Amino acid sequence: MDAIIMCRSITQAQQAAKSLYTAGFSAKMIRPPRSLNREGCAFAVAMDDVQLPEAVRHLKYNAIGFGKVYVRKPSGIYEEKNI
Amino acid sequence: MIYLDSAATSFIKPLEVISAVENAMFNCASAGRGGYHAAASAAAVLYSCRETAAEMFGIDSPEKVIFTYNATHALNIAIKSLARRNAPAVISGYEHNAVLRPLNVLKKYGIQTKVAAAPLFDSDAMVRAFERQLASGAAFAVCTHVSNVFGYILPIARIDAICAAKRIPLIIDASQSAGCIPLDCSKFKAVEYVCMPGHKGLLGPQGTGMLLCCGSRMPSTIIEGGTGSMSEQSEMPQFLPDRLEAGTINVPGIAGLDAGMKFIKQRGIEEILKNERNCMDKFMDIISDVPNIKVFSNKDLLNQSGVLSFYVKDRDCEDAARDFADAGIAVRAGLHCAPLAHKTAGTLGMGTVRVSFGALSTAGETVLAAETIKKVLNE
Repeated sequence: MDAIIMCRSITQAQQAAKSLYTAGFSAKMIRPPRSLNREGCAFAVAMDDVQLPEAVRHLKYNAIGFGKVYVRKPSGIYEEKNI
Repeated sequence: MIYLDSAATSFIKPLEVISAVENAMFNCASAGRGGYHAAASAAAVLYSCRETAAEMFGIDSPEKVIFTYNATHALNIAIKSLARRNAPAVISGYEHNAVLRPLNVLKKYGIQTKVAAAPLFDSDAMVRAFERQLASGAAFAVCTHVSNVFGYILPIARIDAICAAKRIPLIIDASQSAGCIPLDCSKFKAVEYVCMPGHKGLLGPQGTGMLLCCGSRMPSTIIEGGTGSMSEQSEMPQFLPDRLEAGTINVPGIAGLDAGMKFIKQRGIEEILKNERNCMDKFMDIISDVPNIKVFSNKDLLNQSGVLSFYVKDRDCEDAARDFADAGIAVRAGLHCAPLAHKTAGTLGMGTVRVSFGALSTAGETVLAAETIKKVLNE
């Protein structure tokens, strides 16, 4: 699970994770690394990076809100992605 | 004891509700505060309940389902979010103190309350009263869906249409209707907030309630604190539900509320209403010939839920209720925290005895209770 979709609240993360999971994505709600939490505590959806573009399309299509999207590089650093 | 006070709380709960509370107490930690299993279990309980409520009441996102301590808490948020200095609030003549008292506090900000008063069970007159009071504008309107004293079902769809035409937001107090009468918020045009307890018709535990945010306005906070989100910000988040849910949520209570709503869904709200009306019908048939009794009822029951009030001339309502309690029948007497409703119906001086039925009321116990009450009154 190398991709992280940030969410503004646990409820939004639950909604996103459930919708993605139901649609067949390997999505799981997590607490993201502190380095990605620029405003303090947050929740996110973790998933395989290969599924990320399709997952983002799915969320947009279903009008489910989400925040920034990150992919972990081989160095372990998370890089923001614009999808 | 035969319990006929479901309008106060659903004292008799489905076993599923009790099991859900127990499970949550065994398995759930604090929701939204940790990533470990017990915290995730708690979060899952809350989300499941938001989804159940959103589906039951036609809310387009679980994020718009806010957990409160009770309906009063929800009404306070709704009223204080829509109040504007020097602009009046218009309310029906059947509102509870949960509406009247917050509005009384707001008087000092120049917020006056105008009452749309109309005779009991006269829906056309109620619509005309709202039209009159809203004619010169208002910051918002509040209308109870069902009178907690008389079971009168107010014409909220027609009142919503009046408010929509005037662009005035409407608050619905669903304290006596949620779980007892179908309520589809997606059909409303002006309703901004719907407020409800979790422990009455929805069969959940006490200490639970919900605020449904139907519109696009961002509500004001009445308490602030930790939400498990945006923690570096000193202000409350500008998104729902976190904005209105400061502090630890009552997870066992919400687990029970979710189970209560699922029980109702399985049984069917229409069936529950039919059962309540059937019980009320049987009750009225038996007590209506008690000498000097005045029963407040709409005979065809089309705009009355499973709540009815009565009084007996020259018999104090509290004394009567005490005599019923001694005979094993639990009812409520007095003003039922709704002096305005009594004033509107002309019963402020004497109060009433209120009998209210619920999802788990049965025809058999209703007949037994009515016969017992009749016997006590005839003694």
